[in-house]
Amino acid sequence: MTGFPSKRHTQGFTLIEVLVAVAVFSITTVMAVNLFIIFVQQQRRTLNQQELQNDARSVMEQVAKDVREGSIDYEYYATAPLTTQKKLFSELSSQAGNDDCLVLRNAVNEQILYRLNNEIVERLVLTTPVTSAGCSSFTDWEKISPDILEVVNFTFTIAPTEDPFAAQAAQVCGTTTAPIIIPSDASCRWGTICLDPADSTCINERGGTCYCYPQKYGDVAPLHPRVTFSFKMSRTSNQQTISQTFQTTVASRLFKNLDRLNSYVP
Amino acid sequence: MPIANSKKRRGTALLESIIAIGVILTGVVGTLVLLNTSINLGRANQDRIVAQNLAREGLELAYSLRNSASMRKVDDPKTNWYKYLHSEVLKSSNPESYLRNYNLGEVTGGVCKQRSLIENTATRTTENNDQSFDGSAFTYGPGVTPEAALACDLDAFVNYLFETGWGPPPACMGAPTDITRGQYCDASGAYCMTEGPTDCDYNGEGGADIIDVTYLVNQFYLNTFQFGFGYPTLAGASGKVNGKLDFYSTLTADGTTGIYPQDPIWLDTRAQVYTDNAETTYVQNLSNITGYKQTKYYRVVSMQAICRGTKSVPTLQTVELVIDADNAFNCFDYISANNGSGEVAEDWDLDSISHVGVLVSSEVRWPTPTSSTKARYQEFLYDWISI
Repeated sequence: MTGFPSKRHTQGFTLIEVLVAVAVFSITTVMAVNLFIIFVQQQRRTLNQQELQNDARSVMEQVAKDVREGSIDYEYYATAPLTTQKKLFSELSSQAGNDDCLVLRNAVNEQILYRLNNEIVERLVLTTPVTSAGCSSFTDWEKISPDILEVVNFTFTIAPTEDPFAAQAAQVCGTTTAPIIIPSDASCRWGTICLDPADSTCINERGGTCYCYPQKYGDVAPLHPRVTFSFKMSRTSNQQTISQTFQTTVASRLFKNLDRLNSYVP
Repeated sequence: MPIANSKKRRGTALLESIIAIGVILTGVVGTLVLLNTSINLGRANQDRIVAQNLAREGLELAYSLRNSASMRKVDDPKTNWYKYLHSEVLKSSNPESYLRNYNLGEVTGGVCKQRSLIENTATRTTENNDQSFDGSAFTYGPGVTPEAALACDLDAFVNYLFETGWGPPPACMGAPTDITRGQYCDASGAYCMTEGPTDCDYNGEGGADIIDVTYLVNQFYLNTFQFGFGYPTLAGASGKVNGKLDFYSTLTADGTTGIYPQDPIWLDTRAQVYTDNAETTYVQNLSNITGYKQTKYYRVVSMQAICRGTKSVPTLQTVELVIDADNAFNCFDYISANNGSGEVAEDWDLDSISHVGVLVSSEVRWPTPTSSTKARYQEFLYDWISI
């Protein structure tokens, strides 16, 4: 044997060395653990966000589909009992008994209503449309958003604000013998004229009387109905709450001006 | 016995320490950067979702324009669809024609004389209403002969052809030879038709049949489509109108007209997306932005014309072209001006050019600390029938 290791070699570490080593080790470990936790949290957050997006998309698609395949129920909004708060631009209230609803009418004349009730979006289909009562009077609503999803806010804006398909009664705008009145904006609005600029005759004449068709589009030009709606939704999972606003605009694909013919397509 | 020499107990050299600290720092800094990146990416994901929703929504603008175009006349956008429908398609001069029903033709002495939809001009009463379009039973009364009530009734015609044996055939189908199929009699049985014209051969192939109904309905659609799917007037100047909505209308690079810069579009305040204070609704192009706050997002929607036509040389074939965004929106103008050169290398038959659709692009950009990020959607939108 060549002998034992020197005394010096068996001395161990000094307190300082141990402290420094432990400190360095601790810092590294804490950082690593911290990093791990943050990554896990981040991953959960991403997962939660994805779930939120999935749920939100599902709800939005449902509403969008009904708007696309139908149109706005202008009749409902035009009939406004005093007790209701029906609005074309509305932030839906989550309170029970509120009459703010998004009301649509599908191609087979069923009424489709959406409301926000206790942070849940609900849908109702009425095969016989009701326009004389607010939507709070109806029952048997179907939940379309999952319970885990808190729908904090549901707003919608309908454009144009008046039914663009409404047939308007013709307005008298003079006679063929009397000087022709060029209709004011109030009687025959945008897009209608009484006198043909080419030959100064009535555009629409019947029995010596000239007529014009008022248009009640509510906007500058005739617009096909569309709805912009947004949801502010939040979802809590693993003590993490994510809140996000989802918004979309959907134009109706239902051409009601061809309705009379549509029902006769063989 | 060997003793550790003094050199070994001297501690670390400066160089060694620097290297050690360097290594540790690199590790620490790397970790922190990783952490920071991870958090930023998480946040960026959320921004991207918002941006993609906004971009997606932008596409819907083109749908809305297309659908709204069905409500105005292509060559005269100021004509409202309802007036056009009744005065041009339905050939009515009656200002209240929307209250009325339509026959397949005009009845003169029981003969269906015209092959188009003609308004039932008599004052509408329950007696004379032939109910052409509402499917309920026809009735007639004083002054209205059964022929007039029956003849060319679209409802009766369709029923006769599609549900043989159900209901009487209209007068223009000719006298029924098969009594079991339905005699032309009124409710009292006092009047029965014995003869009738055979004038429902709308497609002229020698007899009234199922194809004639289809033909007639198609004709109606054809006429109605003259009214449909025009494009909105897009702002621009110097004849260089294109689909970039109206963002180009005021911005020019040098303050003059004619030169339209690409990039300042993103500086146009109208491109910026705002949100209300509750952060529940995103809006753009607000004339009055009081009560709304800016977001980091900018959105621009553009539309390019999709043109289709034929070329005869060397063989007859269909050609399609998407006009560059900075060029004209009108297919005929652009192709006729450039035929045979550049982008329109094929020699198109000019009378075949039609504007069949639009290529919609909706792009949302937003700045990040280091760069600008974007979300972009493109969609080919057809049924855009116009010149």
